[in-house]
Amino acid sequence: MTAPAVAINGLTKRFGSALALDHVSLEVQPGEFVSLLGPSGCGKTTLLRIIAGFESPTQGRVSIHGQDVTDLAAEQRPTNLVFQRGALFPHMSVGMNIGYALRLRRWSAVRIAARVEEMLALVRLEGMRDRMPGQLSGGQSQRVALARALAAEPKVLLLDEPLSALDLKLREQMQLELRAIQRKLGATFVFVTHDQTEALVMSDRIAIMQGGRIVQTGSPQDIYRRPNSVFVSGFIGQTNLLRGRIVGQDGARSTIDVGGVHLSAPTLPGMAPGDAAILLLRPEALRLRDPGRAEVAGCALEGRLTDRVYLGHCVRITIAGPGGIPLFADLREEEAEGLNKGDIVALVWAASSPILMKEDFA
Amino acid sequence: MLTGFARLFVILVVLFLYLPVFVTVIFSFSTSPRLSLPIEGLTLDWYSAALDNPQMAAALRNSLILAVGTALISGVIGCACSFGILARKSVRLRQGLLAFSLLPAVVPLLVTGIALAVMFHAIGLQQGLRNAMLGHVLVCLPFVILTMNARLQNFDFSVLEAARDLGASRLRAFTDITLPLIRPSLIGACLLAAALSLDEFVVTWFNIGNQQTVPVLVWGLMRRGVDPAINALATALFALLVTLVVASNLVGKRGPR
Amino acid sequence: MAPQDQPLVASAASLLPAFLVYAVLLVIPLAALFVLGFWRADGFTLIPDLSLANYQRILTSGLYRDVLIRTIQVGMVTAAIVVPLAFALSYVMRFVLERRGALILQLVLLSLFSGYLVRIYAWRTILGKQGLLNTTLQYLGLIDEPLDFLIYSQLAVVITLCGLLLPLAVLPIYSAMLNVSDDFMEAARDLGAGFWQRLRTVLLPMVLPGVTTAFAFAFLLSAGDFVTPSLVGGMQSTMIGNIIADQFRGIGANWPLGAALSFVTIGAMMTACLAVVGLLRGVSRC
Repeated sequence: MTAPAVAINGLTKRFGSALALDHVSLEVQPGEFVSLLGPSGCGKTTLLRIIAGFESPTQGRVSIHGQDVTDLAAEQRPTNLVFQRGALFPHMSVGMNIGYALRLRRWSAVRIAARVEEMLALVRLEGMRDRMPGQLSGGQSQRVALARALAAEPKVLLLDEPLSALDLKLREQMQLELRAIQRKLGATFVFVTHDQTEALVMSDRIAIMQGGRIVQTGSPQDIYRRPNSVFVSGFIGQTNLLRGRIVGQDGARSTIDVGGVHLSAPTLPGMAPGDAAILLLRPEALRLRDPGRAEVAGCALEGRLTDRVYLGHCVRITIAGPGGIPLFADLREEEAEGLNKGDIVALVWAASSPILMKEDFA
Repeated sequence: MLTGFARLFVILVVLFLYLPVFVTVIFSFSTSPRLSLPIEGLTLDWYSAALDNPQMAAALRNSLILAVGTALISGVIGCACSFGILARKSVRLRQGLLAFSLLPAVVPLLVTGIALAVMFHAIGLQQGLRNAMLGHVLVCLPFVILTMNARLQNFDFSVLEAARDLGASRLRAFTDITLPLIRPSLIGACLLAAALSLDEFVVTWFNIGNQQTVPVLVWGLMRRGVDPAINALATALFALLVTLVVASNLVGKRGPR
Repeated sequence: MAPQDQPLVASAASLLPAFLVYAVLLVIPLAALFVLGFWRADGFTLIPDLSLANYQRILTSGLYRDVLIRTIQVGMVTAAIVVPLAFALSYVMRFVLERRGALILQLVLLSLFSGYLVRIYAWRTILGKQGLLNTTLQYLGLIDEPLDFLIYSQLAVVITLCGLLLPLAVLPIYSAMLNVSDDFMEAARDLGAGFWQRLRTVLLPMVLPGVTTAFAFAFLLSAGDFVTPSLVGGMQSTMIGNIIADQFRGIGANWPLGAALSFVTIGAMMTACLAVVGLLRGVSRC
């Protein structure tokens, strides 16, 4: 088997007394698009800057395609970085910016010119070669930054929230473009973001970071459907968390008492009756009770409707669940028709929808 | 009507500030040595009188040496220092370092001047141009650091990281990126230092011994009484200083955003 | 080479040359001057000693005390004129003329470069017995005899110092006002604050650091000046700077006495300055 494109092994980084990274290990395969996702301060940017060579780890090693680069300076590493705000050289034209790494590598002028045109075509900026960075829009700047970082064919491209300064519409368009470029080149991308949608849209694999650790790695579906902690479930998408206690177990299914109501969920190995547990329900998994359809015992709740919000693609209703805790459900518009504040609403869900979890760090 | 009052007020204050300048310039061309109105006639005699002063050439030469030397030395040192300050991550550390770097500007010039004279005397460095130059570097540095700091406030250090990331060595990143970006600010700061040096009198007077600079010469003439040649000399010096300061502003404007 | 945690050209080492200059050319000389204050002078020879004689002589002599008090007075009067004037000018530049403020600031600062000595000299020309002001007043028939209190007097010293220091006081106050957004003033107005109330309860507290700096500039630089009193001041307006300067470049020079006098002066000036700064803080708090 070939060596991973990036192999991070037991990486720890301290800034004074603060622990920015705590024994982080991660492998990125060649051609893979991996996102480092987490709230600000979780250590994702520090991890990226260590891979790029701008910070040195307190402990641990970084290898790229089997070569240990931990002690190499940034300019000697086969990685390139796309900066958050582009960091285009303001005194150089677009073409000069894109060709900078090639001039440093002493390519001939002819080859550089050809490569610059190729990169401009890749990021769809043909004809912009002689513009100055000050004359570019935000989206164009980030495209030039991408072209500049890709020009010298780095083994791994690192991206530090490159779309975060753009407005929503442009950001969504750029996400798809970036993804297409990565596919086309078959390049390895490591992408840092705090935006969960962005990570879901673009990545082959997502590594969720919290407090200097990677808390879960997996495909977007894995992470969304099988979060391994309350933190992950909350970070990816809206969730309903129902706290209770396991009161019965019947092989594949457990019964949980939530504020006096007994609910059913797939058993989580290692949890036994008497344990405190959390039941996770995604709002879009909830449906209105339909008298014409059979429902699974322990997969339904009733409560008074306290709020309804029109979100465009759905209607989000809130009902007072067991013990009064709010429970969100995303219903189709026609489904929610006729529901008013104060109505008693019954919600049901598929037997496979609920996920049983332990309290984080319990 | 409020704006009317405001304009009048501003005009009066500016007149107050420039009255000495007008007086100097006007009387440098006046035929009467009595310095009183009305002006009887115009002449350039005072300019030739100023130039005829036997010490003039030496004073001018020394002033220029001091100005150029101070500009270069304090420009380079001050520029490095403001980069060093701006690159600190902690805001509090940056503010502390900046405050410390302004120290020579808050010690009275008289005290700075005599303290330097005392130390030079103690270590046996004879008074002269060299001592004055060291003094000029000291008193110009805070102003160089302050202007560089203001102009580099928005300097985007990530462009330097970008250069390194793309394969540039430390030196290459400096010559390719840093230098072209800061050149206008640096030249501006150097011109300011030159202007300050040309006008410096107090520290110079205590450290230059029996040599001359233009301000020291002017001081000597002033002590002797009213001499219209001073006006001529001052007008010429003013023209030079204004040119330097305006140039330093214009050059600085083209700096990094 | 290991990757760097410090950004590139700007490692801590780039601070070194400047701070070396400060250490060698400012801190050590001041320390030397301090030590010298405890020595004795015998003619032109300096005798190492550890005596408080110089300080004793300064603190017991009526002459030094009177001159020191006068110096502080001149500094305070100058600052009391310059700071309100600078505040008013900055206010007009920032809030009334707005966009032209920057241009006016350039003009104000440019006057600084008309030459320090030259400006003092020009005021002598203006205020002199046969100077511009007297001859103009006579020409207009407003006075018969020249006014002789205009020159070689405390008044001349204060006028000249005001002219010298006004630009330096405008700079910090105007900069501070640039950081006060119009929103604050409009919010205060919206909430019913009149002009003076807005000034005292909103603007002044927000620009207080700038006002304090302006005061410190105006007071310390005017009280520490010795060129102005020696060119436009009279016998009765000698300031402490003249006496100190004479101890280093004059007949009957006495370096140790001058050194001790410098530190007494700095101490007195700092005390006076801090007292006023404390007062300013107190006023703007309520």
